[in-house]
Amino acid sequence: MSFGALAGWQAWLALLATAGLFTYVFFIKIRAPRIAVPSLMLWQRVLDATREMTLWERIRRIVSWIVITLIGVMLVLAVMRPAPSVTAAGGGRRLIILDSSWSMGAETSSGETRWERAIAEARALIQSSAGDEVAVATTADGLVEGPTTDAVLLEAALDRLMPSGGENSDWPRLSNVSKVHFITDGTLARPMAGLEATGADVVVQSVYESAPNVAITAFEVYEPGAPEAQAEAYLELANYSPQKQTAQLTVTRGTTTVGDVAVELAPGEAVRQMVPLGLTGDPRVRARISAPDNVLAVDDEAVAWIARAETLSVTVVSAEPGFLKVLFDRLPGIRTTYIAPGVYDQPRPGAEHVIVFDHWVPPAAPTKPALYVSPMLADGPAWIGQARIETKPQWATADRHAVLRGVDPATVTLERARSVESDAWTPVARSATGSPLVSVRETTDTRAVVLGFGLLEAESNVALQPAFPVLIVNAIEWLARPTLTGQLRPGVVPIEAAVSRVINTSGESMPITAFGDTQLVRFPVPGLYLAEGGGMRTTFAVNVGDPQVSNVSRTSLSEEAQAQGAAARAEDPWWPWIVGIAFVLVLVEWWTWHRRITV
Amino acid sequence: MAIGFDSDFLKKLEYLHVVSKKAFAGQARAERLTPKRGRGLEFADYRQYSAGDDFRHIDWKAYRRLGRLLLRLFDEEQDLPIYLFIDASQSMAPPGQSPEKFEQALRLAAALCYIGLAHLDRVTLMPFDETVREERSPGQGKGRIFRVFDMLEQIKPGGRTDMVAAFKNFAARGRRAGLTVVISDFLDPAGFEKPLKMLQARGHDVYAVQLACETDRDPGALGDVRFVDAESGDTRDVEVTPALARAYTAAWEKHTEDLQMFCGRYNIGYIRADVERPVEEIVLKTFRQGRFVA
Repeated sequence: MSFGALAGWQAWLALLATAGLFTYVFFIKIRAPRIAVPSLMLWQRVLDATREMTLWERIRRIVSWIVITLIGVMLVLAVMRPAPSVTAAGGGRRLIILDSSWSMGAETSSGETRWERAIAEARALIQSSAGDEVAVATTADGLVEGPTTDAVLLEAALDRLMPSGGENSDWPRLSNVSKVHFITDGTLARPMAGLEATGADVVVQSVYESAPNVAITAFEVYEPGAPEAQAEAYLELANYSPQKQTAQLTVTRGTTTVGDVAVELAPGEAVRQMVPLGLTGDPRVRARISAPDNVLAVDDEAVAWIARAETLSVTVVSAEPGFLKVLFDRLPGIRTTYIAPGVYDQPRPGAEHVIVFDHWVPPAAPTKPALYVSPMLADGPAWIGQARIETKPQWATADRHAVLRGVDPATVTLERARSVESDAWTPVARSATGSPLVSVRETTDTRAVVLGFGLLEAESNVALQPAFPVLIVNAIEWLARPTLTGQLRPGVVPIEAAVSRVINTSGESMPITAFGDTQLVRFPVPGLYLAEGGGMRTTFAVNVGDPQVSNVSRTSLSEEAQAQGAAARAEDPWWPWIVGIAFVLVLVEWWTWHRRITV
Repeated sequence: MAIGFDSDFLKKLEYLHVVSKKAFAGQARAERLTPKRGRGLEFADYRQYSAGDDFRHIDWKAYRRLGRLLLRLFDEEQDLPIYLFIDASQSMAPPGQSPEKFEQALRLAAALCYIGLAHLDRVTLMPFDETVREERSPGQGKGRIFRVFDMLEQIKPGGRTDMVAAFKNFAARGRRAGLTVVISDFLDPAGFEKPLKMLQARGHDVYAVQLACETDRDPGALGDVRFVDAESGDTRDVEVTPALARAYTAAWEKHTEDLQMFCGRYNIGYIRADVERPVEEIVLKTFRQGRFVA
């Protein structure tokens, strides 16, 4: 800026001086005469009354009254937690389905998990239901609560819910539903067509937020059939984050750490490792991974159980154990007791898991799982069935039974078969003429295996073949331990009919639901579980171990659905704002009151 | 300030006596009728003789007529306790102004004192502000009036008005009930209702003598004025407009009306004594009209 009349500094000086002078003049006031009065009491009354009579004062009084009323109304409103009303089309029922897959446990940038976001959105929906009937369901458990108009009941149900897998379940069904709110992160691989087929208006509300994660995507112990072989743990680690991460992997067996290494994981990389484990020692194996950017906790730990590390007790009832003794003495993890058939009925110390009857059958069926080797003597008891004797049978057909896994029939030459024929037995290997060579029986009380051939040289060459230890170990394993095939994951899992009880590590029984011939049990969390039934008991591991779960940065939701979810989250509850406004109004009223501006 | 009355006025005062609506028990024999029965001259009543009564009071004529022993009772005449509360706070004499209100209060107190002394009443001077200052009792008999003048002249205005605290202080001294006169402008920020009711509740026969001067009734100035409270020193800047001045006068009138109505409602004697009127007129006319003296 330049000045035509004066130099710059002169102009600024003049401006400052003028401002100072006028400021001084502004603050100069003519000193009012001082008059002493007996009391200002009357003047106070007069001025108060005069002020109260003015229009401005009346307006201020009304404003003050409105402000105070507003404060009260807002505080009451805040207590009532208002929300925008969302009424179902046609006034029908509303169904809120929460995606309860494990990926919902992923933490978001705000610190809460996707599940907590989903619960908050479900609560908001319930509060805004405006008297509609509402039902709450999850993808794992189906319908959980409702339909009801009781918000307290619904919110109590929400408090009980947790992510629990359930990727393989069906959509919950409810009649007369007008609107379905599906709150999900989009990782559930379940076609939406099934939900839309109900005819209801389906609204997908996203709680997805891309997040980095490091996980154990597979952890399984492989126990070889060969007696001397070592067990191996198969471990798979994956990095589902856009950055390279250094993960710390710790493997423990019981309370002993057997491995603690740092693993470099490139973005999107999956590292597979085989960890050798001895068959002796603590059967509990636990792998744990930790990394800086890791939003999902449920896949950071995996457990396994080395079944053969648990000693099995076997009683062999035989007059001449022969090859059986040679085999059992060399099998690790099996403690064998040999008794003669004559002393079978006498009490024995300890409790065996399996009894092996060699060329002899007890008068009454045993209550324990039993392996019968060539049982059909001429004077055999009737309970076991009729004898069927065949000379030089050819092992022709073999079922894919667990007892026969890894057994090569081609190497076996049988001189004589003394098999049983009864409806109670199920043949799993037959001769060319149809004689049952290997039969099994499985009831809710017990299991039994019959080998229709002996192990003596005059009966077969089985004892000299590689199939011998495999067959016997398979039979013992199948008899002593229920087979829970495949990698078990949390959620609802079918189990064998022989299993009568499943216990978690805290000793609590898991409820078993029977649907026809199928038994289902729900594993709520990963971990070790104990299954019992039919005189057998076995511990097994349940792990998440699923790349689909651990890859929490993927979603099947469209960008539009994600944006809707973000917008819905942006709608914070109203009540804190209302409380804030009320507080500000209180401050304004307090300040003005002290300034004697309002009454 | 020298207080003094001419002899004519004093003579007129001697013919007056303070009227008490109640009869109070005194301490010494005097001229006031008391609720007691005793050895006065005025016959009051008979009562049945009982053992131990003085034979000299038996009415033998009545015995001869009725055959019953009756005892003659006489009224007891004693002195009347009179408490003169004189407002000695600074509001009675604001600094820079003529202390006419305070002087008027002292003159009225002196006149009432003389009336009381002349009738052998027990008068006590009680100057007060926030508390009752030194309690002064001149004794009995009209010859003590000069002592009263001396006592009154020693009272100096000062302090804040707090009648509640002052009368509480008086009540705590346990004085016997009597006729109580409060001479004040009654400009107590805490109000006049509670202290007057407090006195009445203690059994006193209360009279309120309100003093007022021109500066009390009228702002006396227009325009920007800084009013200074004589007692607290608080200031208030006021632009005194004619309307505001009228409002102030109305407020003062209302204050006076409130006091008058309050006194009427609670059977408290009320007398307004403006300083512009001479003491003689107030005592001989207004006090009489108000049945304060007779």
